[in-house]
Amino acid sequence: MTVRPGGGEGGSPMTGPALRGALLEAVGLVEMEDTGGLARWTIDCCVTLLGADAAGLVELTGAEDQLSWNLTASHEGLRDLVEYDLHGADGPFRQCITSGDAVTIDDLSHAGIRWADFATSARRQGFTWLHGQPLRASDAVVGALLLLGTSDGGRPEGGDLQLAHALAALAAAGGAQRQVTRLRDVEVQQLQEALESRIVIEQAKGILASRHGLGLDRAFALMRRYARDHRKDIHAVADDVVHSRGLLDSVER
Amino acid sequence: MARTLLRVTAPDMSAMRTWRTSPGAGFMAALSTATYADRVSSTDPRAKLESTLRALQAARSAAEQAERAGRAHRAAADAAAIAARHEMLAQRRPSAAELHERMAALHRRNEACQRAAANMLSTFSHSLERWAARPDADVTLRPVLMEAVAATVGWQGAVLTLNGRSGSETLVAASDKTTRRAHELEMTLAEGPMWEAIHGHMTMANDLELDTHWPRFGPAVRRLGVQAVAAVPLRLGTEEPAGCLTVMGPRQPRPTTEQWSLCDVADALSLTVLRDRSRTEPGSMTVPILPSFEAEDMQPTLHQAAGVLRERCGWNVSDAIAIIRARAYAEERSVADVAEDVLNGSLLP
Repeated sequence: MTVRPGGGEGGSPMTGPALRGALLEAVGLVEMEDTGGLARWTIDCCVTLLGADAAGLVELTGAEDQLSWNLTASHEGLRDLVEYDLHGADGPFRQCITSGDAVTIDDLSHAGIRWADFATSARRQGFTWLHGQPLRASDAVVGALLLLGTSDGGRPEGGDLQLAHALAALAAAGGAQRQVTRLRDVEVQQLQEALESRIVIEQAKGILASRHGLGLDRAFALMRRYARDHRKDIHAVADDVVHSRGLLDSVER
Repeated sequence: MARTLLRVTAPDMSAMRTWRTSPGAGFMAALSTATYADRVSSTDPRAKLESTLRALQAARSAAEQAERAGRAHRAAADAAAIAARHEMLAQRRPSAAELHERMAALHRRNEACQRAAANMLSTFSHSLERWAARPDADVTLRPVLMEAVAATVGWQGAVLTLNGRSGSETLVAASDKTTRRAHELEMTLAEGPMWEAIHGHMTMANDLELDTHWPRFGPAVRRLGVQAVAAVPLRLGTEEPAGCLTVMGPRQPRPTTEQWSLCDVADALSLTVLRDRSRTEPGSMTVPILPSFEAEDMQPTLHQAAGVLRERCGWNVSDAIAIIRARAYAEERSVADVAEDVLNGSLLP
């Protein structure tokens, strides 16, 4: 990391021990594979280390054409603002996500500002500046880290901006890890289902073989044919046989 | 007949082109066996052909396992490189030493798990290759993954079990007959190391400890010559253990540098081997669900026999399974043997 502890010219609250403590906490979250915890940790760092008054982490979900997202926010009030921005046609955070470039508004009360409606809503909540940092994972933008402040003194500069960049990179890595975990859960479930399904099919083979005096292969062929004829899944047919739902009680051979 | 059939199965050869690793000696030997079968008219060409095809399949599995081992090996090397960087940084920056030491430990654990996977997969690959190269390869002696798992931890036998959501066993993969029998005792007597592992506790016991831990299972398993057992839960990335790995033998192995810890091997199984699944269509019975395991590991005979008993006697399936197990225990036979008797009608309740 290129950030120097205590760096930043504007009297940053970031100090060596605080940064070290925060990083150890992050390692703990990585060890526990707690990706939700990592998202909250990122937000906390924006507030405690970067001096933002509010922070939010937007993680995009779903396909590109329909913008759906998850927000982890330091303040509930931020949710309305982010929703207003991202659901609208144009806004600073939306701009940050679509362009993939960081967006900074130093003075939300500045006349002739590009996103006037948004700026008014933000000012109504007491914010005077904002900074949006895109989250990137292998070239694609996967979300944004949002920082907002109520006093000019807290605006991140220099080393703090680099730290914001690093936090966004960490948050993106956390998001990627969450995808991996989710995929693994789905795979485990599919494996369990496939193994259980195989067992039920074997049991049904035994039942039908015994019922109709067939070989096991013929019993299986019978189920497969029934499944095809009735457009059913073979597992569903086997399950009906095992749970005596009156299936294949009599057959023409 | 043999001649034409061999030609028909020629697409097996085309798979060779997609192999990333070298086919290996086993494949070449299997190929020469194939040529031999094609050339010499045997008294039983069909048997000859079948054995040739099995040898070819084994050689192909050997190549696939070697490829998997290679992947695990590369993953281990990547993890080791990252760990080494953190170890270096921990030395160089004392203020951040704790951070780097913990990151290094994280990657070293991953490295150990990947190395254990690479080791057992390449051991499995080599024994498959050697088996395929034998002209008289006996199908009942075809190597199984669990032998390589046992060798990797240094124990004589190893058995891997997975539990379904209903609590029934969905997979029972054992390295050998004795180990499978020992596991069947655990199931029938409802006590043993596995029962503790599936509740999340690692267990290890030797000699008379076996009897004090498990008054019924201990003496029974010692009669099979097993004097030491250990079991670890298998998590598959889930909260609750999804199964367990049990190892056993006449004695506990002496620790050597050649061996991996039981936990590393359990992680290697759940993170690499069990995640390697065939893409099967639903209901397809020909393709194995887990390519590194055997069809018997899903206990098809037991479940078929349970189906027969349910139809014939009106018992529910789990009672039928318990009755087959009890019979096997009483007659000191394997569950599969008793189930086979039910299927061929020689055992009528």
